[in-house]
Amino acid sequence: MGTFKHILWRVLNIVPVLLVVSVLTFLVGRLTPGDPIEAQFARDHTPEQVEVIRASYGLTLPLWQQYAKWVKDLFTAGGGLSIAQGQPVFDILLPNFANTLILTAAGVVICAVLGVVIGVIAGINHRRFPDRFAMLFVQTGSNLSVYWFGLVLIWIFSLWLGWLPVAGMESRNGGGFGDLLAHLVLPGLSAALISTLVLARFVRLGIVQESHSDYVRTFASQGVPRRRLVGKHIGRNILPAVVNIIGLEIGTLITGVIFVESVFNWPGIGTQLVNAVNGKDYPLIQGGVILVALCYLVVNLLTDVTVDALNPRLRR
Amino acid sequence: MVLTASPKTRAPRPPGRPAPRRRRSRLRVNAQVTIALLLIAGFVLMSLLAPVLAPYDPDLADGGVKYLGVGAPGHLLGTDELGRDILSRLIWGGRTSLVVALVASLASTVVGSVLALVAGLSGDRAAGLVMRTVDIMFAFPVIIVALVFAVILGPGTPVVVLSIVFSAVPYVTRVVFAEVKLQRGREYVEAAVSLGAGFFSILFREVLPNVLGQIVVYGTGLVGGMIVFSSSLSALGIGVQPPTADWGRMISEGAKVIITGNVYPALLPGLVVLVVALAFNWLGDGLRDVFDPHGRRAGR
Repeated sequence: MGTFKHILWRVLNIVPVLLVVSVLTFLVGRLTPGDPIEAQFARDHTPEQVEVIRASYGLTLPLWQQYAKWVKDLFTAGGGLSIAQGQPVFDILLPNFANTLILTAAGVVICAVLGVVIGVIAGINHRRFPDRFAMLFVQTGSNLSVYWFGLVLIWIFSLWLGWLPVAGMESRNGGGFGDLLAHLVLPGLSAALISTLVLARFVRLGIVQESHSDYVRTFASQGVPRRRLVGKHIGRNILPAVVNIIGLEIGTLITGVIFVESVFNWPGIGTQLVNAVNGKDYPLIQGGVILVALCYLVVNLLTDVTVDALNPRLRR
Repeated sequence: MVLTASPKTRAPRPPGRPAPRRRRSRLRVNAQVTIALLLIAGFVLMSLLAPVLAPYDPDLADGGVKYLGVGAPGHLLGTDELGRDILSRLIWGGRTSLVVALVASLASTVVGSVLALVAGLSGDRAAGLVMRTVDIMFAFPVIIVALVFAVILGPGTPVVVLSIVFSAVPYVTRVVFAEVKLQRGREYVEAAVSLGAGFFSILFREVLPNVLGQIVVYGTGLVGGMIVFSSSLSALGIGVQPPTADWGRMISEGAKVIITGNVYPALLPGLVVLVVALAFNWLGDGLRDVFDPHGRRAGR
């Protein structure tokens, strides 16, 4: 029962954040200088018709009613109509959002696996050659532009070596799951770059610090093999923090994914949103922001709950 | 007011803690800082002297010399898909990139530090308010912030600066807040309080001098990441707009022709971004060793 209450509390904690996020997102449309309705329709409509269109978007109501209508639309009308395309925003965004989620998921897996592997190798070889090498790699990698890193990967692995597809999500004639995986490798690696290195640094530091602690020294003095010490004892102790870091890195990862989508021509929401920015299609931007923010908050919630479940000291 | 109780050095580390790492020799730290400073000074000078140094007009498109490779006669680093001289564009591009990164770092460091100092020194309620606001700011991935600013302001350089500041402030605030809290609990601050020192006296005379090192270190460390991030934003098309020469835009323009095997127009600006960002990182690391000689971060 205690656990359930705790989870409920975490869920309730999201509500005020969502409220603030939604108000800010709503205001985006109102803060935009210029009149998108005017810009889109004035050329081939009379001023009276423009007013009718404006009213159909609900832009003649008082601000708080517009907000209420906007929130209602989010649930019932697919987030309102896109100005440029005239369709409900979520109808336009959701198919691509699924692709973005696939890429993000690939990024999380790559980040978790590579980050832990690099961190462990560096950590158990503290101050020896593999550690120095890994840290040099981490420092250099952290200063790479994700966008540029993606390009370099394309250049090396697709154009030069010809191992992996250049861009897109599937081959022209389709190709099933294996084909999708092949298309995921390079964009996944680039999107996960920064988060992977953050995680690697963190895992390494965790191992180094834990190896100085009393329980590890005791086990070591009793002849517990090092493999078991790192895998079982240290691993179990830093696991909650590792999960936490991965959860926190989702924001960085989403940012990476949106950069990477444009490099690899990935059919995700990144490209749509950038186009929407250039076309001042703010309902579309608002819908995208809400989707990403919601996704991010849900991931954070899941992370918190997982961390709590993994940490027996927090159980009551 | 003569009675300042600030300690000259940090308190000794408590016994029973893991042994501190061997201090890196002062010489090595100095060498690192010197190299980083030389690199940074070089790039700043290069940008300032761009009109003198650049062999060509950065926007001059010479259709007769497209896609020259590195080392081509007359064009040291080759030319891009429009026949523009890459070296000249790199030199001019430094101006926007460096200014954006420096302005954004300075702004976010100052805003974050002020928030943290006020929150850390003025009671739980103010601290709670500031830190909850910061939490909410954390709920926006950087790219979303950038897109929102871009749709409000229209794509351009201000978008880059504002979105970087908005996303960096929460980090600065958290780091500095932790440090301020730590100092606030120390005896020398208690002593000053018990001697009747006011809010501003404690802020400026006691706490600020003791957290300034950390602030400078963190702020310096930010610059590199900001150069990298702003280049990515410009590459995406919502940052610096053409025809301004900018490293990020050069990367994205080069990206369009990389498929034809012409890799230099995209490769070279990315390398420059990497070197500049690394230089700021080295400077930040070196400064930390200077300001924090006890190496509280064990195991670095």
